[in-house]
Amino acid sequence: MATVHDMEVGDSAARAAQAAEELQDVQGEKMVLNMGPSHPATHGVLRIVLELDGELITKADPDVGYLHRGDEKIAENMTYTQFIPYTDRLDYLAPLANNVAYALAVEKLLGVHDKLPPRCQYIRVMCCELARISAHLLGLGAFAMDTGAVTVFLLTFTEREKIYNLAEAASGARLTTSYTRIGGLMRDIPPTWCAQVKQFCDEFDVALAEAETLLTRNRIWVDRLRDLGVVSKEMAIDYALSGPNLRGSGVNWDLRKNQPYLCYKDLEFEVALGSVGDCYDRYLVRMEEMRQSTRILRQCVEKIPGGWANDAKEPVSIPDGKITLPSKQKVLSSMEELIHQFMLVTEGVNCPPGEVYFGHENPKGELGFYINSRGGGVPYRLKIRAPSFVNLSILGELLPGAMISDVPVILGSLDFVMGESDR
Amino acid sequence: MVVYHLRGIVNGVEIRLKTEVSEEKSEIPSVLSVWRTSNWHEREIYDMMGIRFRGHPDLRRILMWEGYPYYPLRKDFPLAGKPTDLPGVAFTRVTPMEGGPFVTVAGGNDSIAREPRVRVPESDEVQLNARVEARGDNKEMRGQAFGPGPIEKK
Repeated sequence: MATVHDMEVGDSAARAAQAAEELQDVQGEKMVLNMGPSHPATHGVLRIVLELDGELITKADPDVGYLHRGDEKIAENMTYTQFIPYTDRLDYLAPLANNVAYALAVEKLLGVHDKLPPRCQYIRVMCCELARISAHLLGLGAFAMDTGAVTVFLLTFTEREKIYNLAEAASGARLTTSYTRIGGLMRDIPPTWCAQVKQFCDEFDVALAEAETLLTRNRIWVDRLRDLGVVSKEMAIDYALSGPNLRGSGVNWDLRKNQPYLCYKDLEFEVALGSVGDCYDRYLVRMEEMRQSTRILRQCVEKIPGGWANDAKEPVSIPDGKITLPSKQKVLSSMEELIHQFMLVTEGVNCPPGEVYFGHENPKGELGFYINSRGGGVPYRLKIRAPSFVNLSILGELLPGAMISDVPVILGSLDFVMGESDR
Repeated sequence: MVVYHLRGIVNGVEIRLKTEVSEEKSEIPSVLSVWRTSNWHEREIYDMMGIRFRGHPDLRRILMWEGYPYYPLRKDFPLAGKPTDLPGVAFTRVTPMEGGPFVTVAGGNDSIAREPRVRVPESDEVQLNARVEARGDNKEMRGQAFGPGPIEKK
């Protein structure tokens, strides 16, 4: 049954005058706007409580933790090897790089991180650089889309698809790769993989150049990014930013150069640096990093020990039965290997007691693992230094003074992943 | 114990600083005035471990929600979590894999005893209930037994 209500509509001019009188106190009053946790521009579940004066942001309080899964607690309850799949889910845009970072941290605890077989080092470097390109491509695509340039997103996702194919060919999984093992890799790359990587590099250079023509000199893009979200050198160091966000501010710090691990010291590449520290600089740094990554990839393809098909049977894991699993053939035919396999699977890699911190240059910045071991196959405490978490802590200082329409641009330029930030 | 890992960007030096914190006091001074990045790190330690930082201007929970009563990274906090009064699906039931570590420990349960799949579902439910109700700390907090409730006989 429909009901009829009588409504009185007064003189609108008189009501407007009355409202203006009532609202006089409201003039100059600040408004609190809740952005997120489900907002397309927050790239996940970041929530920011913004205090606004008109369109100007006067205060910003980022609220993280919506994706908290307790990874550090989980790590204390399983062996080192069992935790590898959890690292896929930290920065889920670059699982291959996370796998490498974590494996290197545990290997440092074991004291074998510089004794890895050369072929393993090269494959790991290629994985890291592919992951870097993949993560930067998504960051760039989403960043451009938030700013209104939708085409770039389509370009970058076409290229990312190829990287997923490469990850699948190497590890069997597209997203949750879990490709590394403590002391090596799950398996060798297939014989055609290097050729595929080379082909990808050639195609990618074209696509990147195309994306660049759409953005770098685009008037709208430049006007929206330049002189926005400026992070000075001092501020970047004080907030311990890392990765492209730190280098965008002109600080020459890249763990691949400053504390070389794997075979990075044998490879030639430049560190991209910004000069102003604004959003545009961070964008440029990421573009250049992708170009340098293809440069590294090409060198790896040329120099990989054992060649593409590995006819010489170069090992990809440390041939030590106490660290990596022996071959199935040996397990079934030899007592010692059988015992090794049994111990590794049930109790995990027996690590010495001690503390170790290993920082890895991940696409988002320095992904560090601090492991406190009391011996045995399970860490006593595992702390993950997530670059996104640290990079986000600057928001409270970066956002005030900007306009509300600048928020997606600043967030996009910081390029964070909540899965990593919240752990 | 709180561990600081510091790195100098100019000379590339790394320093690891450790301070002892007693569990009763659980308080140390904040280093926020020295490094601004420690703001969120100290909030996280407070949130996860319950260590308070004297002089921190904004010591709120960061990963867990405001009002959450426990410090989950402490060793006495069970892996399966603890129930809270807050509504939601989290922590209303014990997770099926409760009782880590998932590693064979000498003298511990063997894999058949730990493997949830070999349990009979019905007796499993009763077992879980009994285990949840047996937890002293839960009873203390809520003053009553809780859990999924007994299974009705068919």
